[in-house]
Amino acid sequence: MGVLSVDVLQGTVYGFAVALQPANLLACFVGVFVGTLIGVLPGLGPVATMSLLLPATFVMTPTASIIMMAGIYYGAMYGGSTTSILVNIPGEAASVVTCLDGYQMARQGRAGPALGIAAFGSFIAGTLGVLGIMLLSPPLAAAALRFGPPEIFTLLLLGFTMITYLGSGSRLKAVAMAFAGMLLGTVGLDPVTATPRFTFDTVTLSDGVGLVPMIMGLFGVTEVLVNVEAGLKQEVFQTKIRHLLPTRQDWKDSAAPIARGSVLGFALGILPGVGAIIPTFVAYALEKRLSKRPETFGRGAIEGVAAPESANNAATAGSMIPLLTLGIAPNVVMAVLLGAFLVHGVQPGPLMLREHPELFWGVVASMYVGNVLLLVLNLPLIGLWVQILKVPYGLLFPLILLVCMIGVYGVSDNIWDVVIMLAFGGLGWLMRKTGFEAAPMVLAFVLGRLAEESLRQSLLLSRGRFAILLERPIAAAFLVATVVVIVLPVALPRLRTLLTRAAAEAS
Amino acid sequence: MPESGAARRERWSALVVLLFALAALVEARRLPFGSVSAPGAGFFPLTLGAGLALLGAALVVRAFATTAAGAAAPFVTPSARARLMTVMIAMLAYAALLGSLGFALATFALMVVLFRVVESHGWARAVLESAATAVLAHVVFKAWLGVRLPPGPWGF
Repeated sequence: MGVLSVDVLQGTVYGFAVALQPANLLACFVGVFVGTLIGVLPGLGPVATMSLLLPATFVMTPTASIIMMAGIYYGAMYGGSTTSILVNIPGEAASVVTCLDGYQMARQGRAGPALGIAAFGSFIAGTLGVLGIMLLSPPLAAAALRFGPPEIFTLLLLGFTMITYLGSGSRLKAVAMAFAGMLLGTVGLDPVTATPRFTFDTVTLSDGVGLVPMIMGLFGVTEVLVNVEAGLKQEVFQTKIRHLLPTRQDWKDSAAPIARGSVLGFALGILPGVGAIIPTFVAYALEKRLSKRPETFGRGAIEGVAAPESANNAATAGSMIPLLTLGIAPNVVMAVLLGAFLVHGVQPGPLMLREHPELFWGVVASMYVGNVLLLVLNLPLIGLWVQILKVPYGLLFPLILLVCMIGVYGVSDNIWDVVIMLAFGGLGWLMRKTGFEAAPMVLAFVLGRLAEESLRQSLLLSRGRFAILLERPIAAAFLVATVVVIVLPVALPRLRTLLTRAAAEAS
Repeated sequence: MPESGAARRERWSALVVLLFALAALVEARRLPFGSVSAPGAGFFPLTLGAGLALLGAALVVRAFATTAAGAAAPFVTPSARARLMTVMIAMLAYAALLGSLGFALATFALMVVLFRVVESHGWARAVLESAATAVLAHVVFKAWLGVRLPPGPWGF
């Protein structure tokens, strides 16, 4: 334990030395600035923005690129709350819950404290989250070093199961989307034998379906189409923003929700498929249940802003852990980040800590630096973000579409990738209309290749015996966990009715 | 019985999933399957295709078994459909013409369509906004960030 903490301490100092180099500091600033900007703007989320800026990072070092990309993600979490509070529409999906009490606070003339507590809560949660990454990653990476193909495959199986379980809509549809995503992932040359699959003799498809056009289509173009259809009009709540610093009473009310939201968000964020949105709902529900005055929730309770805003920031930190230690993307944003790593020739995972310590510790330390920058950006500069909110969507959406097309074309120099993006945009719109979610599809698409490779290698190892997945203890444990995740939600309600019936009969 | 828009939507989408899976199965069958002890290129796609076909069939059964009652809300309102079609066609045309018109000119044309037709800005305003966008995009992406974007016959 002592050795470990010395390692962590050394790593931290080293990380700050990396993160504070001018080029990396600039990357961090650009990342959190852009992140706040797109967080404030509804209709452009971190996923689309990060894939958009991927080609721009080609000229940067891997460390600076990842620092910037990560900054966009947690920066968006800060920015999203501003729109929720002032406009009552979420600037970013993870700020949906913040609308409930944040907007009510703004209507009561307390926009200042709402924005303030959102920023401070995010900062505290982000700081705790970075600490969590530093403490948890080294032992996890060490454990993951012993993983072979069977362990990786069963872990992915567990991940897929959780992804489909945690969607908001129909479970059956989510599973179907995961299968469809994996099928799309097999397009291109077979990773083992280089046999072309589903390429229809085209050059474009022999490289496979690109992650960037797919994500930009499903998340960028689809979002624009949905908004164009609805004719999105936004009205900024007209209010003078004063007293950004929360009062002593505000702090007293928010301290415990911030702490609980941080821990909850971090723990949930680590799990595959959770992302930053679900923890905000859980944190809000938890605070409402624990509160002595639950009737104030939805009417401008500051706890209702503090808890979810802390939770989403902690969750972004938590979700970095599976990527950094296992090389597995637990949500769509991390899938894009994984793409960024791969573009720069770095395979994230257990070996990264040893082979690219500057990257691991630099990125983690930069997240702390970024959180400080964000606090500075969000409190004094709040007026700037409010002005940006006043840009009408009609002016914005043609620009978003244009940037999407330039981004996709810029990555590959292939006009067909733009067509693929548009196709995914149309598909995503139809999926929204029919209740199919895009997230399981994209995640399965990203993880599918690794799943195929690890399964095929496992079968080669065992000469065709699937029992290998049960014979190795870690793999078996993942498999058991998978079964539990599948069975539990089905069995639990039945068990409860069975028990109540038994109890009723006994009495 | 008049079926609701929601029910019809469920059925169509389920059928599309099933058809997609069957198409994938047909295509995957042409790939070498290998054997379970040495899986080939077709092993994974075929398994996935079969799984998705089962899921699609389940979706179809469920969609046809439930008769969801509800307001017959239109899938998309006529005015929204017109806007959406304009956006999609304009962008496809942009992709098709980018090479021959060049980045700046194609962008200008696309922006005029989006500002004028979709957002119904006046002609003068739309042209002005579009020209500004095209110039700005040219400067930022092509000159400054160095993205390789096709030049037209006039070199921009």
